[in-house]
Amino acid sequence: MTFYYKPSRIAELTRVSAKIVFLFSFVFYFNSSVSNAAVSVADGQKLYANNCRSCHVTPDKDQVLVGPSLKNIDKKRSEAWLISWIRNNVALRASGDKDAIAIFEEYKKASMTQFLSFTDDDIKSIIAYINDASNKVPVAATAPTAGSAGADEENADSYTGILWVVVVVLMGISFLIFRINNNLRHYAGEKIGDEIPEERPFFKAIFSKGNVALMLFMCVMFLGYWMVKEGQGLGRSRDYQPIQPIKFSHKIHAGQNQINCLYCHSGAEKSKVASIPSVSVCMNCHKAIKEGPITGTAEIAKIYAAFDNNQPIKWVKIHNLPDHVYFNHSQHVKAGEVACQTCHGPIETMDEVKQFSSLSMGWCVNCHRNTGTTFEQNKYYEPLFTRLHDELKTGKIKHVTGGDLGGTECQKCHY
Amino acid sequence: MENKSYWKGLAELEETPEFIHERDKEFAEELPIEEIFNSNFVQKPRARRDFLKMLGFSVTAATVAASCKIPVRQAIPYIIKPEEIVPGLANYYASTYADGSDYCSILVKTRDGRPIKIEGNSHSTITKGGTSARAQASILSLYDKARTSAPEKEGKIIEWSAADSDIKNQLAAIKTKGGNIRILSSTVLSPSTKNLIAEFGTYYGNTRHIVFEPMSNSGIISANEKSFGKKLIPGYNFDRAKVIVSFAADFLGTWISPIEFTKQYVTNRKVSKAKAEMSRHYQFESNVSLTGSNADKRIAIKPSEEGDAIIALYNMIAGFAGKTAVTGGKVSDKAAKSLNKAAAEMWANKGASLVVCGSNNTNSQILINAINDILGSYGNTIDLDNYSNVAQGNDKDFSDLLTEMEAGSVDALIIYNTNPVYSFSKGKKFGEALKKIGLTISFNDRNDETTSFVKYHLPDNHFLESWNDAEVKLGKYSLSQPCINPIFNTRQAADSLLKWMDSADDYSNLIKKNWEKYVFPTQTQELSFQSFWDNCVRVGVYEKAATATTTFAFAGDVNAAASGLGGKKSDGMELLIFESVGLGNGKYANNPWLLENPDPITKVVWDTVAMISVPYGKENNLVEGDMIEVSAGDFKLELPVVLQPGMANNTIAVAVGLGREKCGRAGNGVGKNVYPFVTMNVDTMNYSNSSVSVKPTGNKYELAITQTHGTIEGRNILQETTLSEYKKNPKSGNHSSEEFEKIDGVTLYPQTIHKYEGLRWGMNIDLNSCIGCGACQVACSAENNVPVVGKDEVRRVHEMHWIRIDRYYSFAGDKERVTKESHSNAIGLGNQYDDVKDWEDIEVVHQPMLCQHCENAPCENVCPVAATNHSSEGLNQMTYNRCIGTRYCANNCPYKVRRFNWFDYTTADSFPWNTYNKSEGVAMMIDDLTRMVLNPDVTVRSRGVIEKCSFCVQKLQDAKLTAKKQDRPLGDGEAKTACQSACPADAIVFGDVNNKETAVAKTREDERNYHVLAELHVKPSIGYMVKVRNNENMA
Repeated sequence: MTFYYKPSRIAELTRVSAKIVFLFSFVFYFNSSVSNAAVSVADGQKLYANNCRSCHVTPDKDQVLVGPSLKNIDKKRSEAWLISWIRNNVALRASGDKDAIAIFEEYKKASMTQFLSFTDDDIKSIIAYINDASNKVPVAATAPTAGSAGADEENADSYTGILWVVVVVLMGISFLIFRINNNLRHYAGEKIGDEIPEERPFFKAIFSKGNVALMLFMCVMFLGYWMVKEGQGLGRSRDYQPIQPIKFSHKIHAGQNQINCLYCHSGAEKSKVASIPSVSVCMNCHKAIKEGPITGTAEIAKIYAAFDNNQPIKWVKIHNLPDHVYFNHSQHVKAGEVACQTCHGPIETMDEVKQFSSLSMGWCVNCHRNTGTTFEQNKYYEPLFTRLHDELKTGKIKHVTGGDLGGTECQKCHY
Repeated sequence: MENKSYWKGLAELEETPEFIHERDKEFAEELPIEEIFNSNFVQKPRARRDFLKMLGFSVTAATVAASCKIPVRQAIPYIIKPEEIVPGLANYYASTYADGSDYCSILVKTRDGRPIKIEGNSHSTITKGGTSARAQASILSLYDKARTSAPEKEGKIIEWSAADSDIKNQLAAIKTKGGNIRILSSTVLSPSTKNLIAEFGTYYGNTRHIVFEPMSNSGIISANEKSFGKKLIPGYNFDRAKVIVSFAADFLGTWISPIEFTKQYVTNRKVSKAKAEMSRHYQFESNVSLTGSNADKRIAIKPSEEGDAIIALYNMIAGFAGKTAVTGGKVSDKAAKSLNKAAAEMWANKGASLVVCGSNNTNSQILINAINDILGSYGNTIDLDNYSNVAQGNDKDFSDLLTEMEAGSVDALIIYNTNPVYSFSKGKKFGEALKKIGLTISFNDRNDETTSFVKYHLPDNHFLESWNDAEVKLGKYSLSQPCINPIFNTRQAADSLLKWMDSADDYSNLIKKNWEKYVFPTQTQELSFQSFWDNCVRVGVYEKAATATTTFAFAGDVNAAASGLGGKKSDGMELLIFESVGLGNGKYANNPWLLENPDPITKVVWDTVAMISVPYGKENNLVEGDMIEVSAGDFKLELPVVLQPGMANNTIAVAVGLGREKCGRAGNGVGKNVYPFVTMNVDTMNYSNSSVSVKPTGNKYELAITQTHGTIEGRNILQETTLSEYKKNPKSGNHSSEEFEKIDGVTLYPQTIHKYEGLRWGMNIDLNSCIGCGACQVACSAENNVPVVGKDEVRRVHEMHWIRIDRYYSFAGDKERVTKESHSNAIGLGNQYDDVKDWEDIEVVHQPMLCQHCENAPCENVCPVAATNHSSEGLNQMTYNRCIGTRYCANNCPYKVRRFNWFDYTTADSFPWNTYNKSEGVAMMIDDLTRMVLNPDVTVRSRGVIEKCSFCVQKLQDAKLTAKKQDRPLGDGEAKTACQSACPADAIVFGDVNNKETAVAKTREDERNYHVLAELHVKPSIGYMVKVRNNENMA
């Protein structure tokens, strides 16, 4: 029975979670839509994460990364000064601004990136965010805002475990009841004086022809099930956690320092592959940071060795897909706006990265079936799928899944 | 007009017993069922025990294999990532494919640093985004392992520096003694290289540059010198010609600048209600050329008749103009009738007519010039001011060089990109003469027939590894840029010359300097040279406006020309040597994509064949594959015959391009070398021979021909009409659409009706535009990793092309509609066809055939595992990882476009040498170097699965994704299939048919649009446009 129960249970769970995700997305949607003023903390946070975070710690901490901590910066410098410094610090220094030159000297003449495209409002937003964050107590990294398939499978698995225990207990009870019943019948017979059937020894009874046949049948069934299951699992490597050439910690980088994933994996937004950052990207920060909290200088020295000797770092690839599967990161990250953690799990809590999801086809398809897409926001869909647009308007459907748009068809991934 | 009967080959026309046997079989190959059941293994008494043993072994093997660890894969990033490279994203670089007389402005698609595909560059006004099969296939030769990997001296590897100092010393010694230095090359299109060669000449003195082209046009050059004092090949404007007469000039296939001419030609062949006008095209030729197959009227004449035919046309035109006639011009009545019509039409369209001639005979070309002069073609359809720089071979120079060499008066010979030992009729003599020269250097890319005679072999880079420039026509410049570092230890030829001139410059700098000096001042838009240069590199071309045309007075001697030309007609057997459309002059004979690209007319792959006329074959009891011995002078060659409808009687036509001995694994020993048949006619090479003898040898040979691998069984696959009928009724000739549209929507399975709520992909192919060149086939192979299977496999009907071009013949003027009855009547005719039909008067249709992506696809509902099914965008999807290889789908496909991987052709499975290797071409993808050409976005198929056209789904997905990422709707024409973008004739339109504004949706509304086999109600996604012929009253 349990076998049949599981899939429907998953479906139910995923439906529930999809609803939850949907509700959450609404909350976020309203969140972002109400704060559309020219200067906003939310915008500032986004800009900060994308542009500043790789060199400055989050403003709630007081720590030097490449550049200084920006905690309470608005109290140290005037807004006008900050605007001209952030936009073009070179020009500011050239104009002979003493403060600017002093900072430049203090940080070993490492020049800050220029952000010529920032508007005044952008910079004001950043300052607003810094101001806002400076007054908060530092918090540990939050749990991922993931949802859907991966987590569900996890839940479903623990649920199955409980079911198995229940099954075993029930089987034990029924065996006991059966024995008791037998004994009772035996004694009753004795009492009434019926003909008492010859009592077979326990072991003989167990190894009766019928039982042996039944056990054999069960063995075959079990082995068969096990073979199919294991056979399906061949080539799948969930929890694969190889030893990497450098003990790089995502927990420190993505978790504690909150560096945007896309800062290093810049391909995720543009290309099929998320891409492993080149050594030069590591050097952007590690030119200045020569010592880490866990491994000291030992691991960071490997970056310098690679850079100096012109020898690339041979990372071990964790997520491997077969040749007949086409997967495109930018499709999911940019067009689909899926969070990295949805598939990769709570990466910001992992010291060593492991394969979080099974990457099985069922796992892919479940998400395509159940998860809402950017159908309403993306102008690509405007001229297409009139029926779905109408149904969304009339409220007949709540959201459009990948499956509604053909996302579960063979040639979306196999060609 | 009723439709006529079409046939793919003689066997089909005459319904030979073998043909019927083959046709009625389910699979082309016999299945060894009987064999297996009668085999020892099955019949053995203790088969049960063997079975158990094998079962035990398999289970153990499976267990062992399953317990293997998953291999550790590495991800190795750059140390410093170049800014423009994003791993996984393709970059396109503008470049130029210029090799000898081939020219194509291209875009090179590179993925992660390796070039994988060639696309046309639409910025060029010459090729306008079109490509050819050779340009498409040139990318594969980049990864050719037969290329020489390091400089060699007398066969031993040598350092570049050592070779340089050796050669410099010897050149210096030659300079001191005043010795002769000769540089022999194919046509050089690069002005910088030409400049450099000239400078090299000044540096060392006594240097001459000789240009050799095996398929020469030097007759045109010398005729223009004699007629107008202009020693050049003019520019031609086929787009301005309303009447075209061609004497054996295959201008769509091989003549001078085929991509350019195709683009021009089709502008006047496309017909619509808005523009119901077409050009008229007469073709007088001996063989059936690609151009001839597209002509409105082709008249078969023997090679020896050509001179008289030209004289006859001259006399007719001269008559109109009131000029005196020249002597000669006696032609057959049939030819005379057509010549009369052609002359009258051209005279009526003075200034908008064009006569071209493929002959290398100076006299022929002088008369052609005279005709064009009278017709006012100069300044209109022919442009002597904006001349062409291709095909600059000079036969006289070359034969002088050979004389010099034999006399021992050449001290140094530098060979650059030419291979005369193979491609010159007296190649052996040339090879012997090479030995007499003290210093011989070859820049050729491989140790070919000529290079094996030289002392220094200094391999040149591939063009995709080089900087270069080209000036294909006056003022039409283009640039080549390297798209990959040199794979082997090679060096660009020009850099070698620079080294020997003690120049500190490298060639890329030199090009830049030349452009700054000569090209930059001719424009005013860009102010700084750097921005001009950057823009040119980005766009790939810089084109000056055409020079204003001036008038030239014709000063040729027509009487002398005519007297050297007329009265040559012979009654005996004649031989014609022509250039192969796919393989060209033989330089790319080691390219498997080209070797397996069927000849547009005979559909033969991997071979040299002798085309003979059908009546000749019948008279001499020759059938396809019989061997004949052709001898001319002291040269003999045994060749298999193909009975070619449309051939001039008593003529044999053989294509050059094969028979290489030293080109590499794939091409060595394939076909025969027919260059030795070429003769020297005073100063020009002559490609026909009127004194040959032929004798059947009685041997048989199995040809690999793709044309008969499918039959039409009299079905109404092709639809055609004539221009005047079309003008009266745009729906004329289109039989199927109305008849079957009324049953639309009737189905037994309403639940399977597809809704197509988003996009709905569709294609349209214009049969009027398609010329049948085969560029799409190579492009498709390159884009989709379609394997090459080799000659043996094609013989077994295992070819893998996703798109094929079906070539159908019909008797000209045959207007019978094909019905079951008329067809069986036709069968009854049998060999009597000879009596009633004119075998020389044949019309040809080229029809590209690929997966039709049917709405009610018959393949889909027979698949037991649903490996092929329908997408919501109208694609008939093929899922390789689901396919178990029953081949039911292939069997059920009415269009016969599904291909089965009988073997692991591309070594997708893990054991590298466990592959079918009977023919060398099969295993081309086993080495890691060649595999670099594979498209990483497309699965490499393994053994045992079906594959077929996917509408380039990877490109469609990419276009959609780009639009989504940019948050905008998909535009029309953004998603292009590989065949569509390769097509030089713009015959293919593709897009979303749900959107009524797209080009392809508009074709659906066109009256000419029809679906092949519409009567089956499979509802294909591909529409074809009825072919319109402008062939009335052409005699």
